Amino acid sequence: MADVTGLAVLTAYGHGLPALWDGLKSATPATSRVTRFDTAHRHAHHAATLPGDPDPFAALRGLIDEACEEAGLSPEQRARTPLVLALHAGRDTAARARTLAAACGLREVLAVHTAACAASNSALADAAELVADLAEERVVVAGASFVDASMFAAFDSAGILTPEGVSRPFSAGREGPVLGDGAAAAVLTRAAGGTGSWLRVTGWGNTCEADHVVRPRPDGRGPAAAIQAALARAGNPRIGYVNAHATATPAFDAAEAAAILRGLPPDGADAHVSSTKALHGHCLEASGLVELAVCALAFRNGQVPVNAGYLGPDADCPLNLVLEPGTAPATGHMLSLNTGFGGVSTALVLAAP
Amino acid sequence: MKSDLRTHTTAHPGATAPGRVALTVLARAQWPPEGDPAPRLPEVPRWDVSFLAPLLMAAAEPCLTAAFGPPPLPEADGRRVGLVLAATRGDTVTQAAIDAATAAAERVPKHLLFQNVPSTAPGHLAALWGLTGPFVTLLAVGGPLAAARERAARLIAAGDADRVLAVALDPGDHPSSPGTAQAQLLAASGR
Repeated sequence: MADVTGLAVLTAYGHGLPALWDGLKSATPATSRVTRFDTAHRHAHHAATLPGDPDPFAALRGLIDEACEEAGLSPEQRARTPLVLALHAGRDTAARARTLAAACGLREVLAVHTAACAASNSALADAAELVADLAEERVVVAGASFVDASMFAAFDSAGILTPEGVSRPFSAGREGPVLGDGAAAAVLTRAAGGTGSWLRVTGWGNTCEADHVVRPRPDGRGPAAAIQAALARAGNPRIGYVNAHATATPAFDAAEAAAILRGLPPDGADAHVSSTKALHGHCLEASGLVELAVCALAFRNGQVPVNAGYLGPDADCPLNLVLEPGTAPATGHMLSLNTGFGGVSTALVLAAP
Repeated sequence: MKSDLRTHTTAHPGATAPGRVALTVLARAQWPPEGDPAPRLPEVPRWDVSFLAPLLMAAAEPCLTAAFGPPPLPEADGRRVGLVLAATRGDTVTQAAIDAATAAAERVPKHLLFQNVPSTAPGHLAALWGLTGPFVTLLAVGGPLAAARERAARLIAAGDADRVLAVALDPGDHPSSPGTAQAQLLAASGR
């Protein structure tokens, strides 16, 4: 297991964990009409974006510094600490990653995870394993995804984005996601426990559904296997809250609901479930890190976030959705799920410190 | 398709690799194959813009075939085989096509979104072969084969997989130089 001793986040709600928590508590999506680029020729026109056009590496530089400072890392400790990233890979990403690590005073870039919406969970699992296996004393994990014109156009042309600009995970009438800006950094440390820890990463699972590259199996077999692997690693705790991947895509949400029921017997139907992508948007490669911050805030504040955008039940998603604000986590263990194209399925078990 | 690849494939037990387990290379393949003056990449349905998926398949499928025979693997075996892909860069050819369509305010061909996601090509391979074990895609900051082997070694050491297909890609950006690929099927020595 690994303790998260430093955490920093940037979402469309603004900079920092307090801004994210205020946004989650408000149950009001951070969504607005896109002004960063022209959407006149697109079906969708909304996203959860920050002002301006932020650079992911500049944002990560600040967030990594912030997380390291919270974790109390000295320059000497930073120099012994590697960086694991979750990013969309472009032509010069590797070079920019190396520059980022050097600018932050970190030892090296150990890995850059690129498995789309599952990239951050994959990176967090990688880092937790390095810490748990005593290969590293601590690892900094960071990831970013900011909405750009090409990303928006590709998703829009594929018919994935909701044209109404409101994401409705697990709900009747859902039509797809709203993209979101997101970036976060976390310091994972060998179990310290108690004060100074946001939460613990106690289990992780990573599987491939191996069925279809862009469609889920209706029975949720891939994510269910990831859930079961993560639970087994964590010692099979009773899960009180599931932060779901759910992007409000009709088929994927239904398959994820099946996976939760299949992977969490007999508690799946009772566990509180919400997808916070309706609020902060779908942050793609940064999703798992942003949602780690969501779970950390839920532990610290004793409330789990609502499943916003809900219009009514869908028989294909028979879950115990969090629909009322102020709901307390039922146990000290949470599950964070993210899946991606190609069938990649990831699950993290998170425990209160 | 596979018979046309003429990809270099050998069984090669006894080699070791980074990580806390010593690795055996059960099979390996590469593209372009050694000694072939005019190698041709396989066609992969829906991947018609860039070379990333054809490169992956050109090295990975002969490697898997050498070890397992024809696909798919029995379900119980597939659960214990992981897949790690490490590439030197993203799919810049597909990204350029998306950027061009976006700049022209045109509709982006639907399949380009999927092509541009690094997990779809290995997901295609996994679906064909029934590989349902751990699944990791990486951008290599150093050598891609070393990156793939390092992650594979830790997956095996952690008990998450018995065997891992490690694939290293250095994709090119022009039909005359589509890039290179190496695949190794790895297991812990002595198992």
